[in-house]
Amino acid sequence: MGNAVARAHQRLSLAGVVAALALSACVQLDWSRSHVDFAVPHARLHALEVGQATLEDALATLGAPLYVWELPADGLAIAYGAWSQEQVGIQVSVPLAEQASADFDYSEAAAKVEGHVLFFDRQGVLTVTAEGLLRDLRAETERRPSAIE
Amino acid sequence: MRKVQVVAQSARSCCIPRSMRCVLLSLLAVGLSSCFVARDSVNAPIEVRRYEQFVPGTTTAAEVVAAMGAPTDVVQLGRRSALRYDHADGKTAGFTLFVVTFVNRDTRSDRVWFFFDEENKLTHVGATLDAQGTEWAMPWQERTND
Repeated sequence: MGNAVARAHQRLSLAGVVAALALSACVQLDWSRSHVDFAVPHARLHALEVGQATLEDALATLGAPLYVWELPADGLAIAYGAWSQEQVGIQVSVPLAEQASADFDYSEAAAKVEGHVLFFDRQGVLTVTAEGLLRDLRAETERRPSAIE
Repeated sequence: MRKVQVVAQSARSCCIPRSMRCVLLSLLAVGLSSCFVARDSVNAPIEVRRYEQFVPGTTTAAEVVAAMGAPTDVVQLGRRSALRYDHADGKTAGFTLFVVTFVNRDTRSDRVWFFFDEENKLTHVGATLDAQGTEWAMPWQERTND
């Protein structure tokens, strides 16, 4: 009988330690995933031939672009992209010294969007396609809006 | 009689004590109660019937704006222009089991671009309508695009 009581106290102490550890959030494991939109399927993209495909073909095949901007010589660029992030982590922290935030930062996400850009000439014929970070591709090619007379 | 007493005592000793049961149930309740879902959206959903009547070469930018309302973005393309309308739907689901947290966030958009020529006549329309397919999911689940 005495042994049974001692064992029960031992288990209770162990449970108390586990509970204290869990509730104080000293150790946190997290697996999070975020997705914004879908990437353009490569097969559809490759169906558009440079020098042949038009803006109309691109819109019909790929849908609405994420961004549109002006190019020199009255051309235009349309960009398709998606963003996704997967994070698996372990955090060991002292509650007073650390804090975590699960906020989703849209501006950070927008800066990391990768995708494809299609460049069209004045007649709306596809001239070039490019792949990469949309922010960089845009910065390299965008023309400042011209003054309207 | 003595044999029966021994059996009863043995059965009691292998059961979890009441105090221990309370602690375990409390931990279980704390662990399993931390589920959450959240939903957010940007702009009102785009209604197809509002723009399917537009005719390239005929409909003007003013008519598009009158039917669709204020665009999200206006892009100048030399003497031409383009208007963007969009709507996004986001679903976040997650739960915490003691010290392990699972979170999944899925955001999809409806987006329509209208392109206009130098005379503000509609030339092209590009539309993607994915927002309705946004899913509640967990990180280990496959994302589907129907």
